[in-house]
Amino acid sequence: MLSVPLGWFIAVSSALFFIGAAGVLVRRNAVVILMCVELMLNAANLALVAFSRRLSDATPRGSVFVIFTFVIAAAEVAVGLAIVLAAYRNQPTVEVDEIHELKG
Amino acid sequence: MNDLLAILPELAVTLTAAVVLVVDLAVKGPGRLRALSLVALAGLLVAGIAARPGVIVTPYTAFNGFVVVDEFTQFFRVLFIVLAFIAVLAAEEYSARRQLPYAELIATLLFSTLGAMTIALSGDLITLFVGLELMTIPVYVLAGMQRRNPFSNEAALKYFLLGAFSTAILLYGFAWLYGLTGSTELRGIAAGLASTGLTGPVLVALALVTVGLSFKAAVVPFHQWTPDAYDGAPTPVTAFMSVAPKAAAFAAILRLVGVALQPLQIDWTVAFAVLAALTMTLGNVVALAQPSVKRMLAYSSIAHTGYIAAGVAAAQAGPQAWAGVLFYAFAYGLMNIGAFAALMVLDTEGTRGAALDDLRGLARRAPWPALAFTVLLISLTGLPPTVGFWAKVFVFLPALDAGLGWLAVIMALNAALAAYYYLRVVVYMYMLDPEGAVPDLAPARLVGAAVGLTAIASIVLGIWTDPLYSWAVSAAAPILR
Amino acid sequence: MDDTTLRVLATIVPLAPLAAFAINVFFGRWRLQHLTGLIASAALAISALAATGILLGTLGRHDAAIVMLYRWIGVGTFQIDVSFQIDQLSTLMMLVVTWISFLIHVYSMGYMHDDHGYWRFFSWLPLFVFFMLVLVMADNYLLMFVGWEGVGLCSYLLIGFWFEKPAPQAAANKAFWMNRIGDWGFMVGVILIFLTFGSLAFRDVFAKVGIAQSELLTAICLFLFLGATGKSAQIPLYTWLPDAMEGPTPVSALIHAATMVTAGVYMTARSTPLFAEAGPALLVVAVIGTATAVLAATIALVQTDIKRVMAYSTVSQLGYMFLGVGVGAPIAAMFHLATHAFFKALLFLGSGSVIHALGGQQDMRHMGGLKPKLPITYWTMLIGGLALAAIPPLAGFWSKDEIVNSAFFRGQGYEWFWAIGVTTGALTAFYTMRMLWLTFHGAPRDRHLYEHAHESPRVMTTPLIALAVGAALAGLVLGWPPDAGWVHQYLGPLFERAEAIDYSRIAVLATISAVAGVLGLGLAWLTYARRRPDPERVARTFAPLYTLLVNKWYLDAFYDHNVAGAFRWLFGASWAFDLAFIDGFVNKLAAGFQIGGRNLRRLQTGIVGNYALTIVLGLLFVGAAYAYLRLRQ
Repeated sequence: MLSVPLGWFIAVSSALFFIGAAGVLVRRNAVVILMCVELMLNAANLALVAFSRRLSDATPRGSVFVIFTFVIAAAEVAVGLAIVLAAYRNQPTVEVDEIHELKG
Repeated sequence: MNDLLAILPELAVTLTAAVVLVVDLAVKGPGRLRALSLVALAGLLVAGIAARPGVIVTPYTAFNGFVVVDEFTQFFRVLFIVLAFIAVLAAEEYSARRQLPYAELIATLLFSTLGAMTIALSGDLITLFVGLELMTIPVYVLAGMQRRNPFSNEAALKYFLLGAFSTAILLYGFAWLYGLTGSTELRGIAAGLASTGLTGPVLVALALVTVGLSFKAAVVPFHQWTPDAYDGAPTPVTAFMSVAPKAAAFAAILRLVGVALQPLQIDWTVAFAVLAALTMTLGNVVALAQPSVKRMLAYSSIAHTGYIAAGVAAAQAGPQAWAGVLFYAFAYGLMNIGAFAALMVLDTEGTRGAALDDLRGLARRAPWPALAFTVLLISLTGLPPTVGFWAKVFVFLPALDAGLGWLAVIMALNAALAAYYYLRVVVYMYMLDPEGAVPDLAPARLVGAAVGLTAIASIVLGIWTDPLYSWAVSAAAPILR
Repeated sequence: MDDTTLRVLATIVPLAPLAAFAINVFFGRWRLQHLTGLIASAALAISALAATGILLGTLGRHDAAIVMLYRWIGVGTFQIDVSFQIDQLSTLMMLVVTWISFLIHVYSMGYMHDDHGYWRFFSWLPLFVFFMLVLVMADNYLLMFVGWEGVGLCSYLLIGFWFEKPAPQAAANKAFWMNRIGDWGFMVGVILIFLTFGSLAFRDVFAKVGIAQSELLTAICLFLFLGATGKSAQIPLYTWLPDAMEGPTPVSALIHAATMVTAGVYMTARSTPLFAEAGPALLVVAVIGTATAVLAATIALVQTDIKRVMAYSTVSQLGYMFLGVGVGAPIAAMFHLATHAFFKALLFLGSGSVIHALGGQQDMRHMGGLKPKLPITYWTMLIGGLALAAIPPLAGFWSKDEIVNSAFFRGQGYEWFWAIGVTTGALTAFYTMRMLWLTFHGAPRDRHLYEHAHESPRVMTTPLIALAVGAALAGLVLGWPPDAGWVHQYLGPLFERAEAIDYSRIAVLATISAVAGVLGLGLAWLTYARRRPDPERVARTFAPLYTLLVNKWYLDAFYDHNVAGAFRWLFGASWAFDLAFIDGFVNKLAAGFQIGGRNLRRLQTGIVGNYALTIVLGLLFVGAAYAYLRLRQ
């Protein structure tokens, strides 16, 4: 197995996190925002796995954490898409800018 | 086996949710909703008994340290069960009126309760995170439960997008905490932090975690989802989501700060005190300018977050500071769920609840709900002899003890400000005549029961305060050890 | 009396009215209806008898008995009990409150007979009495505060009892907000007491009074006194009380004459150990009391609404009581509180009887000549009026005289308080006589009303007679001989007394105030009966003064416009801080915040992207804050 230094993983992970966060800020399409959030979650997953390998303690809790995160992220996506769909049926748009009845 | 005994109340709640879904298929006809309610209420009662309130537990761990059971766990377990109980009581008539899928609604609500309870017993970041998400994701669904209503859609969509965003931030913070300390166990993190000290990366992780949890608790400036989500969600859901997730968020904060981040307490407190002051002030000032009572209550719940956060920030005052936090969370839960439930006495259009003008003359049309609502509003204001008064006292005094005099002053001024808009509602109910068309009264026996129960509890706990506070003190002790 | 009996009686005293409230509020509307009045009155009778039992059982006792019901909060050093302090002061208040309330409950059964809110009335009234009893029986400031807030709440409900009409609504609002300001002051005082002494129980606080710095103690006392000015309608928070007359007359009699408004006096008297050490605080109390007494008496001179005359008179008499406390004569103040409860309740109920007879007419310009029509009302009110005018040997004379004399004996310039007090006494006699004359004597000014006038039913006149007996005799029975009567013997152990009694000087001073009273009466009689000088001509001659008085020294208007206006200006110019505690101001302040709230609402754009951006900015802020705090360490 190639020995990639921890720093590289962390760099990739941070990059993913910032790309995701920037995406949430600049994109207006609800589905794309959801995808960006997934990027951020995966940034965390990558960091967890990398740390877990580096630390390699008796029970690799970082890796365990990632498995839980996968499940949660999946549930989140399922719920999220359902919500976007329900909203789309009433008001055919996925542009979040156009959904601002509740304010003030 | 012992592991399973440790989570008996949680198992009871899970089972109840499952049974609710089965009963929904099995029972047809007009009695279906009532049957579902009864199953849910009975299940929660069983869970409450399984939690064995009043029995002192010696702290122990289960599932290899993933689960911790102590008085703190017990306190929040009971709180969440009580809140779910009241939420189910308040939901039936509304759901019947709006044709919401009732079985799904209460099952989802029970799952969310389960998540909140999981937070209270977490001894590990993984449990904590799973609990947080298990609590939050069902609430996204609940907020959008009224599928054909655009406000409900909007509330769910906004809550979901921002909630997912904040979850990602929180998770990233957790990942870093793990990486820097080499452990996901809260005690392991504490040990790790004690050796690393406050390095730059630790600060970053800390900031990420602060933001993630502050979002869940609706601390300013991470509060903006709150008014929109509370406003748009179906009112019984609002009642639940305004209390249980908030209390759970503070449970998570206390667990994390009290155990894992204890070596770094000072840095948390000053920043948190500033956020608390901002939170209570903004919540109150904006609540003042709201024509809708539902939205006003939403903003006022932000203000209450500020008071609770002030208790967290007063950590240096010792155990009674966080006893104040626990007590406030309990009191707030009861008062606020009751206040939102009271809005369901009126059959308003859509999900947005009553405007201030809709409440004109309510005291004559519905004297009992109006009286109970008044009691709740007085309690929310913080006047004696209600539980809300003691809640404020129990965070106010520690704030002074901790040397946060300025924060205490801001709290006092804020309480005066809040009196204005809470008592204005009383004026509308008791003093003003209806102008134009006011909404019809909705059938509200169960809602009335929920509101009445919370109002009575607000007074009883206000004049017989010692038991709950003593419990809060003993519950706050293990986290500060 | 053994402790168990005392405990039982002390529990019965407040619980009987509470039980009446619970029964009436739950079953009054559908089941009990007019039984509610009987239930409430019976409960009050039980309560009054229990209070009397306490008095008789503790007569020989000099130390305070503490009746602890249960522990309210008891964690670490923070301990507060729900317990009652049974000593001479609280027993006296219990007696006044329960007996007067009982009579007023009986009277109300007649007065409110046809009101559709009968059951509601008899739910709130006993609840009010319950809170008032909690207030006077409490053994600590916090429990007292519970009663304090509670009476305020009930008063609010009762002033606005006829909430269909706009004026009661406005009055209830005004009373509420002014009292909120006062309550805020009281609350701050209580918090300061706790922080200073580490306890809220009277006995602990008073025992440790020496540990506080005198500036701090002064601040505490001034905050407490601010609370007292709100509840007892003193300058600057007095304007709510006359407006509160919009409520039903028995409410005015009970709450705004005999009980709730005396809470401030009681609290100040109770806190005498604090005030005595608090430097200028007592002087402030005396000055405010005297100023209020004069101001309100002058306004009462020109009022045309019979209840408003009584209202301003109450404000004025409360001013006397504060003067008494302020010059270091709390016993005299409590004495006056007790006698005033009799004659002012009597006068209110009497005017209620008149209003009842005239079908709701309150304007004295439509009365006149009612004496033959309402004989019992007339004679009882005459006794009450003479007592108020402090004509010997009626009750008001002994107590009021003692207050002003105490000021005189104090010396060191306090003689001025005496002089003002005596002059105000003449004014009091004048407006009382004017009120009586315009109502009962002369020719009827409204024939129609006059024809239909009728004496009130027995259930209303009996309390009048009972109160008249009290108003006539209470002074002599309780206060003779001056400065050494029963009330002095009884309260004596609680308050240290300064100087020996000098009867020769008392006789001289008493004669002077009696003459002043008679002078006032005579002048009023000349003016209104003989029309020499003709009152209208006087009003024209002194037009500016008259207008000034009719407009209540323009103070209401001043509060409504100038202070509030100035505050608005201040708010725009700079960040506002809690300066003025004035009517209308609260609303304006709230309006200021409301504008702020409206502006802040714009930040809530409703657009998810903006919210997410706020979160990121918040994240940066938190990170920067942590980094800053780290670097500073």
